Amino acid sequence: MAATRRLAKELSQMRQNGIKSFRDIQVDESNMLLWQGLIVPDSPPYNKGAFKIEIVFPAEYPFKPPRITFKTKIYHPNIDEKGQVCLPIISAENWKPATRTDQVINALVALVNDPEPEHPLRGDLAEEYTKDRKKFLKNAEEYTKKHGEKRPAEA
Amino acid sequence: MSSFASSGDWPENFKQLKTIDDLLRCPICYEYFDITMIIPQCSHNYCSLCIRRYLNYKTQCPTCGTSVSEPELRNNRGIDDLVRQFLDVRPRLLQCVKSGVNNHTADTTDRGSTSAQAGSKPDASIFQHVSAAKTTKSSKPVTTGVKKSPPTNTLDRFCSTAGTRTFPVEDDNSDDFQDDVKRKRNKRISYKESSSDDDVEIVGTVVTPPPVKAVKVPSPKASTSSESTSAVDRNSSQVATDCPVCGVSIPERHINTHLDVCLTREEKKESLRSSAPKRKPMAKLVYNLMSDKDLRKRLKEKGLSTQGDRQALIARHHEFVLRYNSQCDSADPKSVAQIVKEVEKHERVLNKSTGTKPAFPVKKTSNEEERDRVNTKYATEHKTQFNSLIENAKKRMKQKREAKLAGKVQHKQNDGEEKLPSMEVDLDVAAEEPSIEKPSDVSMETEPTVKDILTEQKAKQASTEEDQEATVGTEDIKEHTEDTVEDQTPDAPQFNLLAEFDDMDEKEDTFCPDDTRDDLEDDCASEKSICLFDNIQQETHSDEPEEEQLTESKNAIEPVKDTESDDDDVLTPSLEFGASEGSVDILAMKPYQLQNPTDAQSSSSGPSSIIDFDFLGDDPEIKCVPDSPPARQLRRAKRKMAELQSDSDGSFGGEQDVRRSKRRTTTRKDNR
Repeated sequence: MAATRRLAKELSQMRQNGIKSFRDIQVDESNMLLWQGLIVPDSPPYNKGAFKIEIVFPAEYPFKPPRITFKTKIYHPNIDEKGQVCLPIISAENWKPATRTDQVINALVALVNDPEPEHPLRGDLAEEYTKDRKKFLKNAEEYTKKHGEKRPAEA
Repeated sequence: MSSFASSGDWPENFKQLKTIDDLLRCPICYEYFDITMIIPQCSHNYCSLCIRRYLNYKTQCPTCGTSVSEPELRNNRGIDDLVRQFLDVRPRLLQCVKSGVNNHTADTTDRGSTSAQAGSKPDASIFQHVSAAKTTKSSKPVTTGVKKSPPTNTLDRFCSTAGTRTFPVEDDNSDDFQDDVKRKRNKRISYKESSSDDDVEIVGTVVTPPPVKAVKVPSPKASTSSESTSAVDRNSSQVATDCPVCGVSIPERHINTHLDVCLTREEKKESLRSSAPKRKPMAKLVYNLMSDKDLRKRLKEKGLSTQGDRQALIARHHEFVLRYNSQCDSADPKSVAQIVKEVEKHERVLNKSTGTKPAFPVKKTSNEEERDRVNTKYATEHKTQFNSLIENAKKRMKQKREAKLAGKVQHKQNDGEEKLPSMEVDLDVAAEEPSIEKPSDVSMETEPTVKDILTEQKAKQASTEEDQEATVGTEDIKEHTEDTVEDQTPDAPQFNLLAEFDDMDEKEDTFCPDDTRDDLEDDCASEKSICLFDNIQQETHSDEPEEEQLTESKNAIEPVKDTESDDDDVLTPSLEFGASEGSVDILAMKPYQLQNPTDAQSSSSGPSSIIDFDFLGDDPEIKCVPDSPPARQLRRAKRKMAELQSDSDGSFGGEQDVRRSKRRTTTRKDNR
């Protein structure tokens, strides 16, 4: 299947190159359409933990975009309680099949590191982020420490 | 396989090679370009199949978003050639690059390719080296047993020095790889670029003895040959040259006369024209406008399978058209049969990944034995299911009969009683009960015991009475209701329940006029009102795999069942409310009531409720559900839903006769 072949290629390339902020990529060989990995942000307040994400590729990939969900709770204006992310690069209308998964992940890491309160999924957090940054950072850090995964050792 | 060759194979310090590798790949499938198509507006290239497939999703360039449509795509054969050459040289290049990473000179690169030369070349003069390589090459065919008369050494040198570094193609180390590549590209040798034509193609080709030098190209390209001709012109006027038509080597000064003769021959002329007449792409069909028959006919035309449902047929034909059209872009398109094979393979892979199997894996053509085998297999596999279904049906029949008998006796005892459950009561109960469960749960718990049946029948009688009264108002409903009355006396439904919910908890005081169900089933069948229940089914979910009709009508009834058991404290407000109004209302009002039970309460006939409550409190057994209105009534009631909700004084249209009369009964009872 086209999707599987391309994903195998992407995966091997990603493993070869290694993305600093995306580790522990786990893919079931029998089902290339489901990836799991660890987002390791490097800017506060999220640099105290790591976040498990799941990437689900549709069978029509790359003609249709993958979906990303956070499996670890995160205190972030752009990521809701269910772990859904609003990432423009993988939205149906913006998706381009030429986009590689590592580009998607880089975009995701960038979003985690730099929240975009203009397009929030959680309005309350966005408001806190813009109005009371200190409080937001404190909350987010606590939340990260409480719910976040352990950060893998630096490679 | 070339597909597993990844651009990551290249070592770090040969980034350019990696980039070149990447540039020769389609950005959609990440494979090397296969029939490259360019989007003229933005100059992005894709495989023909990939871009055509994508344009079905969105009519824009997958990289930059420039809008484009299929007819605008153009071939980019240059890239095809490039890919072919690159793939030829890739394994050796890779080998060289890897072995001599520290020593990356052109020399090492070449040494790898011509192992006989064993790297003794000074890397200073590439030209020298190339010509040396040429000599090796020209001697090489001899060693491999292929004779080649070196016709134009000067030309050879000219071509090779002029730019392309042509590596003589060996069949040793890169054999497998090349084979794959060639297979993929359908062994299109005719497109070898001119400079390497001599080198590449002559290897392994049977050569006729001189002076007629045979470059046996399957379909000689006029351009190729004429190019070499002109090259020869420049170099020497005395040299023999290949006839562009028949490929025979002719002394230059005779070429014109030869050509005249050659061109008069018919079959040769054909080969001069651009290969075969270009295949025309198939038109896209509007499948929505096509009948299944038409679709099958079209599939058959192409030799495709006509199995599967409509969707499968459409998908199959669509895939075929896609692949066929993409092959039309190729200079050497695959045959229809080949495409058909590919389509089948594609479908198999897809099915495997989605896990769908054809329901009945027997073909029309398969013989009787096979069909029998499959049939018996199916029968044994589902035997338990069949048995339980039969069992259920039998039980129900029996119970119904028994219940009817019992009901007739009971009927006479209870004639004076009239009972209406009021919605007020129900609502109160619900309010008191914090544990409000899902309707389906409730129904699961309502298992009548035989002991209960007797007591309940009393209550049923009451409801029956009431029903009878209700029917008085309307003529057209009357017969239906009468049926209901008759059926309601017996306890058949309870046995149904028994049969269906085998593991239900026992409950006292459950009274289920499930005969309503039977009525409804009948109605469903006769009036085709199944659609009626669609909404209901979404709200209440059934737990049983039965025939669809049954399930649907059952679902419709379930709420009624639940209302019966209101004393058991497990009632949803909506259901309870429904009890006062009859099942029609339950169903109709349900969504609304879930949101706002108080409003719903006010909308129904108010005065009776309190008294009813007392009444019911005294005699919990008599919580009857009013009636089982026929499906027609249900439909009407639904239509009137809006009215119902807003209408608090109970003035309904003529269609609401049942309800109105019921209300009348209630009031009468209150007065009493």
